[in-house]
Amino acid sequence: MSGWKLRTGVRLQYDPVRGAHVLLHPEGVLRLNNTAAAILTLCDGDRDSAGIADLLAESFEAVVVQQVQGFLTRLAQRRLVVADG
Amino acid sequence: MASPDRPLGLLAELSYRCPLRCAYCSNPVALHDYAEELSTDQWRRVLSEARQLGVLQLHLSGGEPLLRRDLVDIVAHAHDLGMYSNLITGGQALTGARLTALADAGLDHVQISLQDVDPVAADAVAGKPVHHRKLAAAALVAASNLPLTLNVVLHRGNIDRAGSIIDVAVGLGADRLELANTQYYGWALVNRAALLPTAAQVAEAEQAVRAARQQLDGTPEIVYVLADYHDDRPKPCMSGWGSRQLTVAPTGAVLPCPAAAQIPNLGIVNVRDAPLADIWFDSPAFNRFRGTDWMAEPCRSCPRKEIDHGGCRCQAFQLTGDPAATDPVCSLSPHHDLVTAVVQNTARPPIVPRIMRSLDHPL
Repeated sequence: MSGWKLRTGVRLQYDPVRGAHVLLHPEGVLRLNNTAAAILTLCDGDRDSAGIADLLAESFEAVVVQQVQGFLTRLAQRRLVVADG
Repeated sequence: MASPDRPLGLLAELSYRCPLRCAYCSNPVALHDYAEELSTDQWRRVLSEARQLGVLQLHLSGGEPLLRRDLVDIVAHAHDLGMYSNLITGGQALTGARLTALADAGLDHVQISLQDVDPVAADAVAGKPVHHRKLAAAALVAASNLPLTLNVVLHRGNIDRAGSIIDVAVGLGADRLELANTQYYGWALVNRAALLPTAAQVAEAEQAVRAARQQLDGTPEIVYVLADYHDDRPKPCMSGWGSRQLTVAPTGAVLPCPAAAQIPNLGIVNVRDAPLADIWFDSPAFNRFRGTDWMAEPCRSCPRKEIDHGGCRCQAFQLTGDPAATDPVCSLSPHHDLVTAVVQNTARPPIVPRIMRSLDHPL
């Protein structure tokens, strides 16, 4: 399948006030946990869920490809990420 | 009461000046009280303090924010702070050069209002022949790398065209469409009898929205704002008073919501006089209706009190004179008959267009 990327107008950012990553989008803010932020950092438009899970396995033991796929699919339904291509 | 959360959003009302005359405008009716706008440096300070307080979403609004000649500077400062900036504009003054300058400064999102999709009706509401310029501005944004939201305030005169409005949003390539039933504050309250749609009109518009959502692939996302007078439960106004958002009015008054200045003796503090964080956490205005301790019956014992927060304080004040009353939209309110009477009243007086008085001339 094609690679994941943030949708146009969506920005991933660290918020030092809350000590957490956030996903900013038109009229909204989604607060992220560390795993979610790590997944989104790897959404460069080229990597698919398996590619992201492989890279994450180096730092997060418990992440499997189904979790990555499920998380990004939910974000796609909320119009925050798209599968490029 | 537990310490309040930090706010996520700031509505920066840069100016109440506006070339349009929309009868449903939510700006205060007594605009001559609002002539002295904050300076560029004062807005910079407000934004810096807002970011430290926790604000991530900045809504640049008014009036017409494009009338501020320092808008690019304000956007650039917000971007440097790490805020996500939304420009809420009528669009008629948005040129390609201005859009490019704003995008280069870090603007993240543009929302353009349309009054209608029928050009004659749209210009009649706006009070000026601006509809085609608004469409051109929307096309400019759609062709840029910025997401475009179209916002159409629905009322008796245009709600029957909800389906056509959706078609226009699709044609323009909008990412989002807000179909927002008129909320009755400011000029809209003055014109309520003329603007209020019938229950049948509302039901038909909601059906058009449902059908479009099924038919479209999610683009544009259709955000439908309910007609609360036709509902029997109140809106969860501002997600709770002093809970997630704050408003800074053009003069610097810091408000829990854009309509709150009308509530008497609220203890509103101006950002010229105190740090924003002190105002958010400690000012009487922000603490007055925080949480649920202020509630009387029927809210106090209601299982929904943490869901709808008693509805809207400003609406309670406007309709009953008591800002601590249950929002009369709620069918459990002892004043619900006030709303029912308005909905059932079939008299349709002429519209009073928004006028600017002393603000008509740029400062």
